[in-house]
This record gives sequence, C-alpha cells and structure tokens, in this order.
Amino acid sequence: MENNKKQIPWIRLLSFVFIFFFLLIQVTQLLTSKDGEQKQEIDYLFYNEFDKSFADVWLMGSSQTYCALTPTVIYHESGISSVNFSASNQTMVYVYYKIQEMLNDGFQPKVVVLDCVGLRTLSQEPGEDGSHFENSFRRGVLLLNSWRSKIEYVCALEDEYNGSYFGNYLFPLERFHSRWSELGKGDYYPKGDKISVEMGALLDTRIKEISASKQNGDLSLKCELNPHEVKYLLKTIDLLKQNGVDVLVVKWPDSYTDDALHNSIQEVCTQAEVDFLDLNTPNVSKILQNQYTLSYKTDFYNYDHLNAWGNEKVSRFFGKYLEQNYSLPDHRGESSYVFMDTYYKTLAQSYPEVFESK
Amino acid sequence: MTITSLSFFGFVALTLLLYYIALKQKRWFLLLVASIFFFVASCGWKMLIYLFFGIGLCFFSAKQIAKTEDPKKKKQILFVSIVLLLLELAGLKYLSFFTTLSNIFSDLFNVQWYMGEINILAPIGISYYTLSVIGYLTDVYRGELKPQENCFKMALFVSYFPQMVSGPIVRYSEMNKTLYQGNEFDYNNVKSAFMRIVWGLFKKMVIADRLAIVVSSVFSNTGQFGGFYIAVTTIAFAFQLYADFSGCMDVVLGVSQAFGVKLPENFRQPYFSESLSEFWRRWHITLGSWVKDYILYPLLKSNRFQSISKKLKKKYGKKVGRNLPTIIGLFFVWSFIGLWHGGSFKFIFASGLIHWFWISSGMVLSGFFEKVNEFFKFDTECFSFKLFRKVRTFLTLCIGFIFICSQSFVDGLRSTYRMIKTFNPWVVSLGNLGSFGINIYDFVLILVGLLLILLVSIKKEQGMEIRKWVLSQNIPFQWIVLLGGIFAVIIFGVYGPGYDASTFIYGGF
Repeated sequence: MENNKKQIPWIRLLSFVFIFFFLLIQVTQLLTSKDGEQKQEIDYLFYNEFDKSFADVWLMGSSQTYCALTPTVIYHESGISSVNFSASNQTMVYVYYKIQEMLNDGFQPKVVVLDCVGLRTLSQEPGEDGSHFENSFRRGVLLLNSWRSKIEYVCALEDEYNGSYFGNYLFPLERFHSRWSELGKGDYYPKGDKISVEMGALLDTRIKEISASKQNGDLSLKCELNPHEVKYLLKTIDLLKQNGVDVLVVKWPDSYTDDALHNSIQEVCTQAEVDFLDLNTPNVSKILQNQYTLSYKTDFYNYDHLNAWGNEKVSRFFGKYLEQNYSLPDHRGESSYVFMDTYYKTLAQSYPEVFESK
Repeated sequence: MTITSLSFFGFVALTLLLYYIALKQKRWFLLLVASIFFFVASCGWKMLIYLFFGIGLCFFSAKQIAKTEDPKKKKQILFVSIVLLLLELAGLKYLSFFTTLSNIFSDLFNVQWYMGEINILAPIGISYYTLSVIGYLTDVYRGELKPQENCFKMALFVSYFPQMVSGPIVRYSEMNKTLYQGNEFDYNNVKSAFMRIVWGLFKKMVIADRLAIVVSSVFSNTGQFGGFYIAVTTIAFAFQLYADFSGCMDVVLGVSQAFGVKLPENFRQPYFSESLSEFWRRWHITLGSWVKDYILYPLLKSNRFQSISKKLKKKYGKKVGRNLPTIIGLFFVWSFIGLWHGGSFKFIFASGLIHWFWISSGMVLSGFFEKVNEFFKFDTECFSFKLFRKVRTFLTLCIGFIFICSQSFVDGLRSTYRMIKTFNPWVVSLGNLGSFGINIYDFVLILVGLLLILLVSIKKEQGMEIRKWVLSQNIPFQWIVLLGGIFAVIIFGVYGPGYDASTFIYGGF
C-alpha cells in the first residue's frame, strides 16, 4: 500500500495532460474571435472544393483588394480563374507565410497579385489592444492552416516588432475566453456552410463621392514606407520567383495615392524587378473612367474603397489587363469551371442593381 | 505575483518538482528559498528588510525568553518584542490612519498641527506573519514551545510562501513537523491538493470576481442607488467575500498540501452559523482562535480583570460580575480585529465594533430571549427555528458589510440610510440585471456557482469529504470532475484584458 502511494502512474498522468491540452486547443479555437470568418470560407473552398490547379491568379492584399476585385466577374470577363484571399489590413508578413504554406501544399498559381497599400502604413504594432492592425495580426494566426506556419508567423512578428506574442497569439484564450456567452453559428462552423459566389470579394452598395488621387508625374517626390512590409514584400517576391510565379504589385483606386507614395512603391518594385500597376496614375485612371465608366462620384463607398459598382468595373478592367499582359488560359467552357458560370448568375441575381445592365 | 496568475502556478510547479527531487533533509531549505523568491517577486527586494526584521526578532527574542530564568525579565523581553512587532505593523499599515486621527483631533481641539497623508508600501503578508510571530513568542514565553534553534528554519516558519498572501494565521506547533521533515511524494495527496486548488480558483475567479462586478457597479456609485439595489448588492458582497476568501484559502491550503505541509483550516461553512459567536468560530477560524488565545483569555485572566470581576460580583451579582468584564474584554478584542482588517473607521466599525455590539447585546439579552422562547413555547431545535437563526445571523452580518463595501464610514451610513429610505423591490428583476453590471449569462453562472457551493457546504456540514469521495470514484469520473473544474475556471473565470486582476480581498488586510 505504501509502495503504491509513492508510485507515480505516469501513463495516467501523461494521458491526462494529453487530454487537457487537446481540449485546451479545441476550446481556444472555439472561443477565438472569428474575425476572418469569411476568409476561412475561401480557404475551405480553396483547399477542399477546388482542384489544386484551379486558380491561376491569387489576389492578396487588404480590404482595398476585396472591394476592388470579384474573381467571378474576372472569370466571366476573361476566363481567368482567380481567388481573392485579401482581408482587412492584411500584412505582408502574413501574405508571405500564407503563400509559403499554399505552395508547400502543392498549389501552383501562375500570377500572384500583391496589393501594396500596407506599405504606406507606418504605425503597425502587434499586441496592442485597440491597435488598428491588431485584428489583422491575430487573423493571420487563424487563417494559416498548419501549426508550423502559425508558429513561424508569430516568430516573425516577434522578430520584426521586438515583442513577445507567442502565447498571446497562438493561445489567445486569456483574451477571448469571455466570448462563451456570444458564440454563434460561425464559431461552431467557421468554414461556413454555403458557397460564397463572391469568392472572397465584398460588394458594398453604399455610395460616397470622393476626390480622385492627384498625381502629376513628379518623380522627385518620395515618402517613407513601412520597413517591415517592404522587407516581407521583397521576401514574398523572392519566394514566388523561386517558384516560377509572376508577381504583380498593384495600387487600387483611391483618393490619396499621390506622387510620393507612387514613386516610393515604384522604386521598391523596380529594385525587385516586378511590375507595378497603379490604378491612380493619370493614364490608367483615364482608361478606367473612359472605357469602364469608373466614377469617383458613384463608384466608391468611402475614400479608399470601391463599392459594388466600382468593383464590377475594376474587375472587368483587371481581367482584361491580366489577359493582355500575362499568358493565362481562358477556362471558359471547360467542364471543371462550369460552376463559375452558375456563380456569376447567382452573383448577378444577388446584386441586380449592379449587374442588370450587363 | 498574484496567486491566481499563471506565473504563480508555474512557480509552484517548479518548486514542487525541485522539492520532491531534492534530498529529504534539504527540502525545507528549498521551501525557504522559494518563499524568499515569492516574497521578492511579490513586493520587491527592498521589502525584505521588514521580513528579516520580523524573522530576526522572532528568532533572537524566543531564544532569550527561553534562556532567561527571571520571569520578570522574560515578560519584559516578550513585551518589548511584541511592541516592536506591532510598531512595525502600525508604521507600515496604519500610519495613514493615525495621521487622519491626529488631524481630526487637531481640528477638534483647534491645534495647528496638520499632517499630510502618508502612505508607505507594506510588504505582503505582514498582518498575518506578525500575528504568527507574536503567537510563537507567547507560546515560548508560556513554556508551551521550545524555541527553534536554526534561524533558517525560523525564517521558513515566518515566510512560508503559501500563507503569505492571506494567511491562515499559523501556529508554530501546528506546522513545524510537516514543514521541516521533508515530506515524501504522495500521488493521491498531490491529486487531492490539485482538486482543492481548482475548487478554490473556481470560487474566486468564477463566482467572487463576477459578484465583484455587481458590488462595484452599485457601491462605486452609491449616490445613484438606493433601496433594494443596496440590499441585494450587500448580500452579493457577502457571497463574494466568502467565495473570495475561502477560495483563496483553498488555493493556499491546496498548494501547501501538495508539499505535504498541513496548514490549519480557516473556514467551516460560516453562513450556517446560528449566532455571531458561532460565525467567528467558523469564519477566519485562525484569527478568531488567535485573538481568543493571545488577547481575550490573557486579558480576562489578568489580575486587573479578575479583581474588577470580583468587585462587580459583590456589588451587582453573579451575572454582571461575569458578563461585564467579558464585554469590556471583547471591546478590546473587537477593536483589535477591526483595526487589523484595515486602518480606517469603517473597518474598526464594520469588522470590529459592530460585532462587539451584537455579541455583547446577545450576552446581555440572552436571558430575555430564553424567556420569550419559553413563553411562546418555541421549539428551538426544529429546522425552521434554526433556519430563522441562520438567516438572522446572516442579515446581521450584512449590516456590517454595507460599511465594508462603502468608501468610508460616513459613506456607509449614507448607504444604509438610502437603503432604508427607498422601497423599490421591482428593481430586482432579470430585466434590470444591466443596472447591476451583469447580464443573464453572468446571473446564471453566479446562481449555479452559489448552488454548487451550497451543495458542497451541506455535504461538508454532514461530515462528507467531497474530495475524498471524488478520489474514491473511477478514473474517468475523477478526470471529468477535474477537467470540468479547470475548464470552468478557464472559460468562465473573470480575467484577461480589460479586467484588472482583482487581488484577494483578505490579501489587502
């Protein structure tokens, strides 16, 4: 009896610890805020519903990207298949690890579009409550699928921002445990239970008149760019080039991209030897306004986001741009892409005010 | 380092590991190192000077007391030591109160002698270990104890880390054996200790800290609330205080149990008490028994009190001769208890003198109540009568709690007035939970938590040891209970960003 007392039942103890940590991870995932819920749907579709070679173009970036491009419209316009992975305040650190993860998983795009709006934002500090980018940093952990990518991503944040985010980001139970009373369907089924015909885009039907960006082609002007974003943009470009993927850096229409910002981004792109398409330059802006009827009076819902009408127009423009500048296949008529036509029809029915004249 | 923090449990886990792999005869020394580390981590290394002062005084005075043959000299050493310890405690914890007192008197007597507010940071646990040290010295003086010859062992008795935050107030004779002997690892004992810690955390983090939201919502804005708002919140505070303090004790005793060191229990279902005297035998038991053994009995047995008693007996009869000195003695005791809880009038009144008043009144009127019971032929042993007495005791306690919740004594008076003045029972409704700072989910959690505490208390009162019972069940059941408890704390506990981790209420005393 005395001997029994002193013996530690290691197997029981280890089993208990294993069960505890298993439950802890499950509870953490359940309670963590699903800020990127919609984006998880896209990930789910991408990984589970589509063929690995389904998307020739990956659209990465911030909210400007998901407000500017609808893959369904691009497909309808040019037959090019794409998926919009953009999310609010998506950082280049996340983009790098997400692309690395997807490439490692065997997905192979032909072109990756990188929205560079984050480059201008200097005040990114993870770990700060109320910080503009805090949700984005956290969403990164949520949207990366493998634990290896999650850990690498958080380590990269720690390196970049000299902070300690490991426990806080990977096991954010302390932060989110009190969400138990507000759990919803999205928490139990974060991957969604419906197919999103927008394929990662957001079509907002609000309208706000804004002034167009003013660029005069003055090459002498420069501005400071976020060094972390620039570093990871260059790393991402390297990674994609090593994998034989073309890269296109873009700046979507807004009211603030001036010569200084344009020149600074252009400089980075020139250094990295990749194309930079700025939809605010006078030449491109003219095409958008004249050929695609993009209007700064009716096609935005705030000073830097296109609304549903603007999205439809820019998507069509961008589809044509990809068609003309990259050798991408037209998948229209292929049996595995037929569902995209159905998607487009559903999309048009969902937004009759946008698509009725098309 | 708060004892609900992850860092504390990391520290405990590491200390446990080192404790059980260390040589048996060196284990107590490891506990000493851990205790000093905990002390420094909790209040900084500068505070060590106060701790070392207490340890040094305790060690050398005890040896001197034991060595000295002359009873008068023994008494002098004891007296000086106690005065020095109390001066240290008063200087660190009550200076602010004494300056307030001095300013009030200078106002009253129109003396131009104002003192600014003085706030000195007191080291953690000083109120608790000071009483333990006084008790130890007194026991040595009485010849009930042999003084500890090893100053490091003495240091461990004073600084033993689990008891540093909120007690219990330990006696040397109660823990010296298990503290120094180097306890063997006992899996079942550690498991039981772990269960106790989880139960304590549940009481503290799920129930007490949720009730704290209710209490602070109303008592931080008493000007806006009256009537049933204050009444209900005061009852909520009564449960908060119990869940908080007993939860803390479960963590403390559980941690100590994991090391094999047995600490005295501090609670025995206090809200089941049928009188205030009984309440103080069930609530903060170690303080009650300390005060009884080191203040009340010595006072009543002193020559002066004995002669007063004799004179009173002669002049006014047996009853007065017996009761009046006790009432006077109790006045000192309750003033001490009140002051010990905090250097402010609200504590002196609400944790001290109000209890003295109720208990003394009970003593004086006991004969009258007996006659009333006889007259109405009340069965004082039936359930309903006992329940009535329990509810009466609880509500009597709540009167004092109004003052403890309030910012000051005067504020307590105002709150009591506002509670009586306004009749608004309709504010106690599910639709009005928002006014109490909680929502329906919090309410359900509080209710379930309190019912669980009630159930456990009833079973304990019936003599059942819940943990022992759980540990006698099959492993799956044990794990379900344990994991259920852990995840209840993790999910439903009140902690995290936006919440200022509240310390244990008794940690502030």
